[in-house]
Amino acid sequence: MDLPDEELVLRLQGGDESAFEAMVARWNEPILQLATRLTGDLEEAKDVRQMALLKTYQGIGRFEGRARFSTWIYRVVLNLCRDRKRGDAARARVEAAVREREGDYLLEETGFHVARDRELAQIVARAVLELPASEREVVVLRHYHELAFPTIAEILGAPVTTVKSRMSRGLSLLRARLAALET
Amino acid sequence: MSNQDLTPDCGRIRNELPAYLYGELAAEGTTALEQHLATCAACRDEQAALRETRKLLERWETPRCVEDPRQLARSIAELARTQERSSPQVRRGRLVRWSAILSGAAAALVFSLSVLSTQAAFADGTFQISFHLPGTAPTASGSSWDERMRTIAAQEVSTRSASLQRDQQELLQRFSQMTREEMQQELLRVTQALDVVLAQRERSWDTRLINLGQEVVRADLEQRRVINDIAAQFVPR
Repeated sequence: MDLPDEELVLRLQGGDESAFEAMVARWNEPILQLATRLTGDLEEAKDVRQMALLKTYQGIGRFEGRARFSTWIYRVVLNLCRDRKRGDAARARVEAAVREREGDYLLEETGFHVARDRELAQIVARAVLELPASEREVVVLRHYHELAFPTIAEILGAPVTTVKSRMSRGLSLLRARLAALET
Repeated sequence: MSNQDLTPDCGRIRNELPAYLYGELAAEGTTALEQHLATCAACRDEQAALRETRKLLERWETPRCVEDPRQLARSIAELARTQERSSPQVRRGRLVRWSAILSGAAAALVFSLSVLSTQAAFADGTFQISFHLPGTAPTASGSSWDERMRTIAAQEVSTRSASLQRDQQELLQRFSQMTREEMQQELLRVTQALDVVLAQRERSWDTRLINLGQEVVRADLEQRRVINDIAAQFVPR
């Protein structure tokens, strides 16, 4: 089913449970990705996803369509992530927040490169996770979720210029941290 | 690169670099920015470095979702229903609903009882009602139907609470030996099992009340027949 989010919302408001399944199929992955990149902890991210979907299911009756559904759900996830303080324990679990590359183990001669790839991925993950929260949110939404600056501004309730300067600051911080790495 | 290399334009240009990097700069802005880059080595370096940083970000891929979305949606919906049942506001609503049904049935019965002396018992999970004409009945209990219904409901509730407490203790003990994943799965299993029990219990209560209602109607009809019979004896045909 390829209906727009807003149509799914209307159907769910009308009691059509299959609309919720379609919604979850569409949003499951983006929510988990966003929460993983903001919390740096896959288990936390799964909890956030569950809470976000639960809030969606329970709050759908109050959704009036003043903002787009995508804006609404991103806000829910951001707020849930902000409520969870990321600690040292989360930083230690960052390995679990980095995907094992598929087929890594198939070619033995590339073993060294695989290890380096994973190491590199973890360094990048740590660098993103160590950004101040407001910069991290913008970098993650722009880079990994491919949202345009005006959309991010709407989600965050901030002016576009603010969003752009957070992105600029975020990238500069990342640049300084990752300068020694080669692609 | 030192700050003295920067022109007044550089600050403005650097603020626009992310938009340029991510293809969000309008044509006019792009032309102006590229003209600046052509003449400013410092900004050119900055832009190249940010492009490199952007490429590095690609290295962080998060684990894929392994859960079946349909299953996930169902568990979430299930969880929502469980929460709805246990939230005080909704629970109050349910109690009110039940008491409305109970007192509705009770009111109907009280109407019959005003004419007939009726004896009722709750045994083996069903209501048993017998009635007698006034004066002929050996028993007429002092308590009202409404009260009886409440007593029966209270007994049911206290039996359930005791077993619920036992279940909770057992569940908590089991949880203490589980991982988070196991706990979530167990919780889902338990809530599903509880739903089945709840649905059965609701049906069983509905059935009891329907039976009760039918008894009331039968009692009304019987009362009408008896009154007709009595009337027939006094009214000449």
